[in-house]
Amino acid sequence: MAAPMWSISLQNFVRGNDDSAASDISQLLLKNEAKLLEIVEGLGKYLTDPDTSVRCRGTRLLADILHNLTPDFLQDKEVELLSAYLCEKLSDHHSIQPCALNGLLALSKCNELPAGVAEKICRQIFKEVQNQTLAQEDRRSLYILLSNMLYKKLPELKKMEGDFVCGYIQAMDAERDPRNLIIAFQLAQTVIRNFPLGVFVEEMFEVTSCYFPIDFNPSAKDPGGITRADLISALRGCMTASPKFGQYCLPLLIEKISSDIQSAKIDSLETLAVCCDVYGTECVNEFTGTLLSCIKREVFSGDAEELTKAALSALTAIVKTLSLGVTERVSKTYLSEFLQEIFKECKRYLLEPDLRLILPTCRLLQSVAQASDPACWTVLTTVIPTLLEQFATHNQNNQRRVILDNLKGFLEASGMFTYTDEAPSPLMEFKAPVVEVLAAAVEDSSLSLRLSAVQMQRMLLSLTGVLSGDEVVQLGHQVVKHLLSDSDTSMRAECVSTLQTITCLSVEVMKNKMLPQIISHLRNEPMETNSPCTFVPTKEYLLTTLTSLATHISVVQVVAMEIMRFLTSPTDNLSLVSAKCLSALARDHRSHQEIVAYLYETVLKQVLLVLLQGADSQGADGQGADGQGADGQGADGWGADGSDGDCGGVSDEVVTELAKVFRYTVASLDRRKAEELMQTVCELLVRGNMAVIPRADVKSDSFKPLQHTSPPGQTRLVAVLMAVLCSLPRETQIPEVMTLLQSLLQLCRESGHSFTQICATKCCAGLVNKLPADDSLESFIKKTRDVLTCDLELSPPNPSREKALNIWVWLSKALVLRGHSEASIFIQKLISLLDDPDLGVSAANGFLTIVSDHDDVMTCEMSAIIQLFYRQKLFIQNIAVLTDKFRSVSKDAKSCYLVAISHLLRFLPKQVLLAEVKALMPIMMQSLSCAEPDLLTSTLTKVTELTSDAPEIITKYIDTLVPQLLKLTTNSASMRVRIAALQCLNCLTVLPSHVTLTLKSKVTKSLQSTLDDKKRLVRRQAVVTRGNWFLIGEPGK
Amino acid sequence: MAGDLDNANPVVYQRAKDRDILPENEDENVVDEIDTREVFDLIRIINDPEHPLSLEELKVVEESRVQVSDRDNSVKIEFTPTIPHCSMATLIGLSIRVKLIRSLPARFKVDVSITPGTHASEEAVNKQLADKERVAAALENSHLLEVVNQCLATRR
Repeated sequence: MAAPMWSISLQNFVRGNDDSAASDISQLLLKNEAKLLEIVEGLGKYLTDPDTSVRCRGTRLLADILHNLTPDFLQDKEVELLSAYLCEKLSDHHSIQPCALNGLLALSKCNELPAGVAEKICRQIFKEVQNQTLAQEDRRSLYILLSNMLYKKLPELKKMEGDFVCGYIQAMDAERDPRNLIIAFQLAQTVIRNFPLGVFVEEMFEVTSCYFPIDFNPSAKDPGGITRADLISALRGCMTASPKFGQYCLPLLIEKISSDIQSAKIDSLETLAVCCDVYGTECVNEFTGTLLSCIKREVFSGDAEELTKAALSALTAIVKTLSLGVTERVSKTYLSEFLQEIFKECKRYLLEPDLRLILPTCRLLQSVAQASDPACWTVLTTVIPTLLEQFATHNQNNQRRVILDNLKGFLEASGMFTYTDEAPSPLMEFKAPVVEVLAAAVEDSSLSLRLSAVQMQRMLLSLTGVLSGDEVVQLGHQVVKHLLSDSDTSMRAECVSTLQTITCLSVEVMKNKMLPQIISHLRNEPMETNSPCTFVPTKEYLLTTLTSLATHISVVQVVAMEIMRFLTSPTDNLSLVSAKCLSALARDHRSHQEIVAYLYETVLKQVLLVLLQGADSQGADGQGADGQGADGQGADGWGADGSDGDCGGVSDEVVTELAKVFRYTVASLDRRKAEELMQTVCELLVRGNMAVIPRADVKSDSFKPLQHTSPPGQTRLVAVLMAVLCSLPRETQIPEVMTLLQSLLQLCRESGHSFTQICATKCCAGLVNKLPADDSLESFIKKTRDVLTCDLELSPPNPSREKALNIWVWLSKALVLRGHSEASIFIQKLISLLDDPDLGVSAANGFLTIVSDHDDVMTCEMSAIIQLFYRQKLFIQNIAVLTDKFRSVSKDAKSCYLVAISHLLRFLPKQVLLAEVKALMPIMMQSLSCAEPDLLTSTLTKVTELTSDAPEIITKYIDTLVPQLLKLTTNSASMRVRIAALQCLNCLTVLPSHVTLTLKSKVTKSLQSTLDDKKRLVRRQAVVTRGNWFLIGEPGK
Repeated sequence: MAGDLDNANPVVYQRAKDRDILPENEDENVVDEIDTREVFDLIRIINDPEHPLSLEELKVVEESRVQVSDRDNSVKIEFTPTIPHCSMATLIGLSIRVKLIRSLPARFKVDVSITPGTHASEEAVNKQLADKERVAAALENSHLLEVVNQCLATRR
């Protein structure tokens, strides 16, 4: 038989010419084109060659082949033979050892290891291999080999008992590479947990604990990516793997806690916290005295918060361990002895008149109290009377607050355990005096004391079972009293959240006892008080407070009725406030099904009624058409032309707020109900059919809200239509939607009432955004585009152009958001309008409308169609055109392009901006010399952001940038610009000092005059900026 | 380390709330005067040389001990060392001075002194702080400048 192909590659490999042989041969084996036996026979002459290097290459080839085989390839017999052979090779020349080890590693990956093989391999390795003389990679192979064995053949290896333990200790002794240590520590854990350590307990502990505390700083380019934290947790696993280590470990930890290195201290304390539980009560008890003094030292020195925290949690762990098995609160145990020892010193500190050490002492005792119920009971029964006594003896409110804050921690600790009637909360005993102290403190003149007291009252309430029903009511009355009389807003806010806690505790108490008290204030005329400085709750305050208290359906019912009363009340002039409260109620409880259902069933109908009455009574509101507000920049300008003197108190602002109630409710209703509501609203507002609202006594023949000739009182109800239609789930069928779109379009083109016009435009856009993309929608878009283009091409000046532009902008937004193919045509037209002398500015601002979020239309919650990354796409598709045109147009038109570009930049994510920044920088620098305040502030914010993200680019421009900024800090008429310029200058100080140092004297000198700016807010920023420029290149920065 | 400090365990006082921004502060046409609170806001955030606390938290400076007259261009500040033999008194005074030099318009005459009766070597320190040349000379000392800058650095 001719020598097979592989024998040549075999020869090549052994001679060191070609390393590819291993994979070739293993491929043959896997394809069953060659037999393993033949190959080994073929290798035979090399494996027995007198030349060591040839034997070495041969063994290496064998090992490499084995590595390339699948785990199920080898038969039991083959594994047995090969392992026996490779084990023999371990005792061959030392240079062959690593290869043999590597081969064994390959075998250890086999699915089935025949009985006895694992033990044999391990014994041979422990006998022949001096692990620490090998290279890092080979040591690593050995650890992995051992862990494979332990994983697969643990019961078999367990029979080796001490032999394995001893062998392993020798193998890992003096390991120094972190990559290997991570595996070695894990192996050690397995060994400690599974093998009887016998006489090797101390050795085993020594061989691992000698690395404690881990002192390793990974280099930035560490291939294994091992961190200090990885090593720490692996080592900690070893040290806590056996309770027998306690006697060695605790002295070691004590020694390290007493060292000077903070990281060692923290590591030791954290290890202590973990290991107490493992070592058990007896062992820990032996060392409590020393441990306590170590921990006390750390807590009382108060050097670093992290260290103190570690010390405190270690203490909690110790007390927890000592509490194991302690069931009686009063008994003679290790625990009680330890607690007595702690008290010996701490009591003295608690009683000190100047309260110097009260904070650390209390933190120490609190962490003891957190450990177990008996510990908590003992600590609280000792400490609380002392603290109460201290509170009585000190009358400075600053000190009293310190005492209260400390007391709070103990209350919190008592909340960590559950209590029974036999073993009640330790607080029960002191409930009365604590409640009394708090009641007094909450009346104090010092705000911080009052705040602490009311926070503690809330905590008392939240501790289950401490206060009885009557006590809760009593406390509630106190809180309500402060809610209605305290002069400080933060205090009143605390009262609100305390009352919310009462609601969680008992809705009945809240509804029957607390609410009536607040509501009675609301109904009475405010009382005259003599002292001018005390707080008198206005009705507005009471209504908003009630709204924030309504966190449960039965409270909401009462509150909503109260709000409705004020919404319609002709005398109080609170309709806007009530409308706001109602929309807040709807917004805050969107996820609360019961409340949403209540709003839908009861409130919305009444709101519609109110709106209809408003539409009727508000007959001839001035047709306040103003083209200025038509750029649709949000709701800000809406109220400006709202009529204040109208009857029924339903102004445009009120309509806006009430529309919000619809929006929030529709978006959270289920589909069926949402559809029902839509039907009602369409019937009423589209068809003008009053019959759907019972009790609506409005003349129905003249009610046509979608007719532009109707009075604005009717047409502005399109805001409600928008709120409902634009928040519906996408698939909802809207009846005769195309006709509706047409009438909306007509309304927004023709209406002279700007509020109506904006709402109609948004409604139209909102619908275009999410209607199904069918032919009728396409033809509507095309037709509208033609109509609007005609409007835009009218000869200026003509108000229709401005209106058409506004509709154009909103439709562009709708199309861009849904990624419609027409979008680019709309945008191109918009860009072409930037040159227009009349419309340029509005067109530029249109870009802001397109990229910014509007919370009243086309949001995710309103299930609008919003393409991912639409802003990025818009930017990338149009930036080239914009910059080209910017360069070519005349100087006067440039600013519109700058504004448009800056709007596109405004919401752009960093990554996109950074890619384009080189091209954009010159444009941004030019916009810094414009006078437009909005443009300036937005550019300045961008430059500020870029300074930290792309410092190298800003550095290039710094010599032109700084003088420009300095000019803005003094010359700009707008304080916002001056502040933004100062902030930008401040940000520049993070650049490397060789860049900024040359400018330092110029900047500090120039800022001297800004320090005398007439506006305080500017001066404040000037101080910060100048201070930081002074620090450039100075020592101590 | 605790042994090296003059006053290792100082009493910590509460910080005042940030100043409310009133509507007139945002009105371009209203001139905001430089007042006591504004100057107090400048110095209350200065770090103590020994503790990770501000001068306000240690009650070294108080709003009631700051006198400002925008019209007369004068600022008078008295500070109170935590203990009568505090060795840091000069350094604290120097930090206050430097902070005000860097933060106030040049038209103001600044006067920094120790609250009467609160320090053992009150007169000597006051004299040192009032002497412009000695203040300038002190700031030539790079070690001293480093410590002052650390006191003035905003905690980030």
